[in-house]
Amino acid sequence: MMADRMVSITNLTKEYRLYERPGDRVKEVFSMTGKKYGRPFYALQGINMDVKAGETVGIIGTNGAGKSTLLKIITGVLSPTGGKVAVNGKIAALLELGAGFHPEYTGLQNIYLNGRIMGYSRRQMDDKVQGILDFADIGDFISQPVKTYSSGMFARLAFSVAVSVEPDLLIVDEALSVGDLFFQNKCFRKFEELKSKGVTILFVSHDIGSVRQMCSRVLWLEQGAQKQFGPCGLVCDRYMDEKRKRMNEGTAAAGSGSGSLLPQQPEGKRTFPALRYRSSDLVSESFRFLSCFVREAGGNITTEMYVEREYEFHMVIEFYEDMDRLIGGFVFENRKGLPIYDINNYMNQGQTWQGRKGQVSQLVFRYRLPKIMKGTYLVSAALAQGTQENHKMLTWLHGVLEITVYNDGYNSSYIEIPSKISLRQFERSQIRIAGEDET
Amino acid sequence: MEYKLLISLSVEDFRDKYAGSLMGAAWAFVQPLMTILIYWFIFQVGFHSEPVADKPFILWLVAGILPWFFISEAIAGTTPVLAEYSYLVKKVLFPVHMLPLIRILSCLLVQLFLVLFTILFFACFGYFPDLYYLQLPYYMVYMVLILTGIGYFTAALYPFLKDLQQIVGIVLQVIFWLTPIVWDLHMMSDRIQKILVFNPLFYCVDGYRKVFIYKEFFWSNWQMGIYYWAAAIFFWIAGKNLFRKMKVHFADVL
Repeated sequence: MMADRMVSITNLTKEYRLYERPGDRVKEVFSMTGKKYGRPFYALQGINMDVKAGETVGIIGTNGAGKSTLLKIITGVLSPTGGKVAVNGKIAALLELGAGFHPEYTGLQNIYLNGRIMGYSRRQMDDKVQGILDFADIGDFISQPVKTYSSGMFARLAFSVAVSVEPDLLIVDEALSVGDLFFQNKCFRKFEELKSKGVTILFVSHDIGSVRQMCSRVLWLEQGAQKQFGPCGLVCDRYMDEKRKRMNEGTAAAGSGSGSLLPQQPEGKRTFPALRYRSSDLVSESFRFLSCFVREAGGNITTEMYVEREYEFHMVIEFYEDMDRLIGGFVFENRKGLPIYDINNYMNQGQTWQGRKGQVSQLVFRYRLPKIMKGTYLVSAALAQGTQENHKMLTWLHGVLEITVYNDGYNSSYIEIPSKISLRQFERSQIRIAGEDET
Repeated sequence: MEYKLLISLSVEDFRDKYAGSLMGAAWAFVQPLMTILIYWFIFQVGFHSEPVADKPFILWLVAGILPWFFISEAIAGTTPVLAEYSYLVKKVLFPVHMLPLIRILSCLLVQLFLVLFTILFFACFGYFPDLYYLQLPYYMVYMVLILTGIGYFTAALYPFLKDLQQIVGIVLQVIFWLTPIVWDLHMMSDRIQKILVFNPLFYCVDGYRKVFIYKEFFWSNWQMGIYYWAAAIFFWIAGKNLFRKMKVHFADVL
């Protein structure tokens, strides 16, 4: 039973004590009566997680949620205040940029230093060096002290060293985000290779896209507490959903959401394109998505969109039960999973709607495509029940559509916005800066 | 495996200390030489100190101050060692208890060179190595043991109490003058002598002089020898225990 568990964590707590004065900490350690001098602060509380050998687990959460602390405890650098942590096997950790690297040593010396810390002799490392150099690909810089490295070079070297020592458990904390796209891509391919070799990977990232891509399960931390630990898609959706909710707090309430979206009842037969999606979570018994598509305003169904033109997004849902307070919506994400825009009937119009048993509802969003960067985008569609602030996600379909966006503009950033620009000119004496002397 | 890591890190620690400076490791020897020169000038030229055991005063001085260089370097150097190696304490899994020892062994390297230099220096005066010189490793092992104990102690406290570095500096100065290094024990009254010999550091200062000057073996006073070793082992156990107790906090405070 224990053999296939790489990491098992039970009821883990990490408490920091905040002291008024530095000396209080010493007093506490030497206190015979066990008197506590500091105030407690819980960086982690009640964490339960087990990771099977060969599994890739992501850890997500906002800044300060305790992700790095958890990784440090698993690595063994920090010790837990309470609970149990057991790790079976050799760990290689990329905790922070430049961790375990001596700034004055050259890249090569650091490779050997790290090797030695990991328990490899010089000769064993000699065999690995070429592979590390090839993977890191930092050229002549390898004979320079690492303090002269850019953060990208640092990340490349550190990653190369960490994977070269053939760990059973690889821990990666955000360190890769400084590398360029090419290197990140290389790392992800390396991850795949390691995964196929049965290496267990623990992975912290703010980039939900790469978490979705890599992980089988995800731990979501919030303010030191375990919010959810479960299948990747499910947890990521909840996380993104909550993030969106929080961003909309206060603004969406303006929709005064009491209204109801009243359906039209057109005559005649319709044909809709079949639905294809990459993955879905939370499949419901009460309804089924039949179709999702984009149509040019008053025109044909398409997967190509031009900025500043009008489009309609359609979602067609069949209901097996009566349902009310429905919110349908979709999100337009770029390849990395970054949401560019999202629309739903509650957020944008303050209204919900009802589905009737045995009937099919077609929800149509008409909008003008903003000037976003050209490229490929994915559309995910969702159905929820309730209000924006307090809703229950019923289903979430990832990648129901792949859309190519065309933009003849600058494409230098995600969004291009119109602006009126004017210029004014003054004598120096006309200008006074508040707070400066008028001499 | 672990001792290999220990040795190579110690060598690198030594190299590291002078990495980037123009004269490099030469500085490790220039400073002791200057110190010897100053004391020699004051005591020989200024105070007209007499030869001891038929050997010139400078030789007596060098023999006694030689272990002190190791003692002071090791204690002052070990105190901040965890902070200096914070990249190994905080961010990777590393046997942290090795760090004080790494620093002490790196200082021992300097000591070995200085001992070689001293042997040459004595040879220049016509005193060539004899059987007594074989005792030098014995006293070095003793010093490594007691200094590791003290080092564990100061290194474990330093992350919590940054003032310690200043305190250690002052205490070292006091100990330097309380230990008969640049002055002879017999200058004191009998009563004071009896107290001063209980200073465990006196054992190595006196030991080096027995090797180079007085030509005595360490077992000539084995009763006190037992006391000194007991003191060193006590320091070692106490230091190690404190270090173990504080260890879990290091990564939190550095």
